[in-house]
Amino acid sequence: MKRNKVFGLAAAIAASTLLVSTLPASAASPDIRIGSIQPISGSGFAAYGVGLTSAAAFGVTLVQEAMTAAGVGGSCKMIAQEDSGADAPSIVTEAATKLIKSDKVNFIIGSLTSGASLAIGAITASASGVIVIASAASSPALTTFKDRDTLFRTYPSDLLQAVALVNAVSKAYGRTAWVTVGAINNSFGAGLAKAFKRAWIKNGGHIRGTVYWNAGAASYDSEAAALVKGKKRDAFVLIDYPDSFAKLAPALTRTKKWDPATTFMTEAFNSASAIKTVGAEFMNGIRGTSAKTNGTDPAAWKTAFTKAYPKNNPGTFVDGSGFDAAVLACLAGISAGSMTSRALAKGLRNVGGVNGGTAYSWNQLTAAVKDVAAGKPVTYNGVWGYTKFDKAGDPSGGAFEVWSINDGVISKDPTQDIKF
Amino acid sequence: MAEFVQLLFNGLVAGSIFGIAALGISLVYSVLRLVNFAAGDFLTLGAFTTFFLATSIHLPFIVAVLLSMLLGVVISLILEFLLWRKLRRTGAGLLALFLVATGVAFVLRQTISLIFGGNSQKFDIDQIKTFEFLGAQIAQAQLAVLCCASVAITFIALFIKKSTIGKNMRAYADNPSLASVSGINVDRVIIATWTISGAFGALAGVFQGTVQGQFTNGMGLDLFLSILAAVILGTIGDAYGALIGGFVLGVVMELSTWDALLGGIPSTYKPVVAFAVLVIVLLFKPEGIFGVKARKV
Repeated sequence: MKRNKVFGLAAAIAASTLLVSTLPASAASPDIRIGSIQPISGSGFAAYGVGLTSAAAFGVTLVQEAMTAAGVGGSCKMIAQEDSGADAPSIVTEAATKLIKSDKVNFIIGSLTSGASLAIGAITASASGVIVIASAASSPALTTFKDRDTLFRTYPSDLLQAVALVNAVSKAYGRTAWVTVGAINNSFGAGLAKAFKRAWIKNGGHIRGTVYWNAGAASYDSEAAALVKGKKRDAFVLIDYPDSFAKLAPALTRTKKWDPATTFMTEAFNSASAIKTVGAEFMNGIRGTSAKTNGTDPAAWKTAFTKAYPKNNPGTFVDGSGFDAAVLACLAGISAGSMTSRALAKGLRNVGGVNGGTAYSWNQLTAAVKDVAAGKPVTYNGVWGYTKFDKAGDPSGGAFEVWSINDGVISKDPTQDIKF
Repeated sequence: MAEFVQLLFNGLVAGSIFGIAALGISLVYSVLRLVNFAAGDFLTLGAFTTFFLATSIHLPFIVAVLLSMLLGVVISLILEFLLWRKLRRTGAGLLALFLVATGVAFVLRQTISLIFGGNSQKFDIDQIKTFEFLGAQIAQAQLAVLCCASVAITFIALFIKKSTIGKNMRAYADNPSLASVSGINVDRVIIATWTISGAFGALAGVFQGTVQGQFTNGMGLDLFLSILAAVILGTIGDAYGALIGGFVLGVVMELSTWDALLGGIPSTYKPVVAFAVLVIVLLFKPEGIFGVKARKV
């Protein structure tokens, strides 16, 4: 009798094991916990931070609805939304630690700036079972950062933006023009300045000089003087954030040797709030490049997003990237089978198109969830675009647009769009 | 020549702001032996209060500045009566005072954010108008700050030197025990110290906001290390030294980028130059520029 019981138990265990092994890994009903860190109250960044936070929450909601509709067990939840102030590293570090240790999240979406995203990456690299997806960080430093495959991003690297800037400047002033490069002294500014200079010289152009400045400097007059120093140049390429440029722009104007219409900048100024911060009188004629949405039906998505989030939705150009980051996180959690960092990273590549599979857009999430839950690879073609993460966790492609500011109004030139 | 004049002018403007802010820290240290780590946030308070009063309430700018200085004084005195006086009576040590001052700085900064929001602000002042002087572009707003700062510095220097309360402050700073038994009203000295510190901290914030054209709630924190360097350079506890230390620091930082000086250093290294100067001065004169070596008994 006792022997029979033992055999019965062994048979039951064997049968259960067999049954579990034939089911997709995700059938374990994953509970995926997402947290976000963005500069919600930070001066100059708040519009982007608020939009990205809402967009990520929207993405999580849509995947949860898709999971219910597809009959897939488990959940994907936005556990906490942290405010990084103005992306100060100390606040970001504190927020990331809280999300990992107290909220036990599996994915962190954020933060806005490259420096803050690197700070989070440094924490996820030494934690277990958590991945960060930066939704607006563009510095090439993210590519080479030793993050033990825990730092991903949906936003294209500045190595691509440098090429877009080179295109825009050479179209305006010719390939051999003389350019003065100025940048804020951080990973974003220094990284893009270096990438631009390399690409510009390779293109046949000339560099008149390079000037860096610190974010919290007591004055910006010597920086402005250094920028306009020397013989005449054809154009300026200035890489900065609105808060610091708001101090530099008056100093540049006072030199009487700077014309905003000869200046090219980057995505941080592609918003009404940035123009308000700096002052439209200092930005008349400034042109610039910024990454743009490259995905499926962004107009319909924007309508759906605005309907779902009538508040806390300033409508910045990068919102779709935050949405895609959240959707990818949820899909990867379903695909992963377990919540180790390695499995989650593998899951991200499995749903980001690295292993092929059916392509699904943001409005086909139910079908995407079904496939992922069945253990199939998929290619999520988001609002922002497809990711197809490379070994460094960077998206394989990206699209850029050229914008200009006239009388405080931003206009776009679609003829100069560039895709990689 | 034009570049030298430009950098010298920029340095004098920055130095005058450092000096005014450093004065309060130095006075508080000389009288109370407290390094006021919250001093930077009084600059922020001054700038944001002036912005609010001038922009939202539409008071004349000068009235807004005076009211901001008054608020700086009131908050300083409230902190003295509620906090510092009690801590002194309980015999709080240097570390305890340091931690409390740091806590006060955090509370002030967050309160400013809560009341005025996190966005950057700017005064309604023409930032562009310049005069040409020896080839340099002298900004009207900066010239106004330099003139006002010079008046304020002269006033406070004379006040400390000539007025009875000023003499009492110096006497108390030199020897608190002797000053107390000599009949000096210590409470009055302390109140005067906090009054000058609060008012001049707020004024320095208004000057900095005017010069930069735009300010955030991190302004005071950003400047605090440079101000502290000015205090130490001019001998901590010496009010005149703080003023001179501020000017020296401002001018050295700006002139360090001058082409004629071996091509000048990149402007991102200006803070490094400031602290290098501080280290060199302290190596040869550990008591600071105006310090006197303690006599051996």
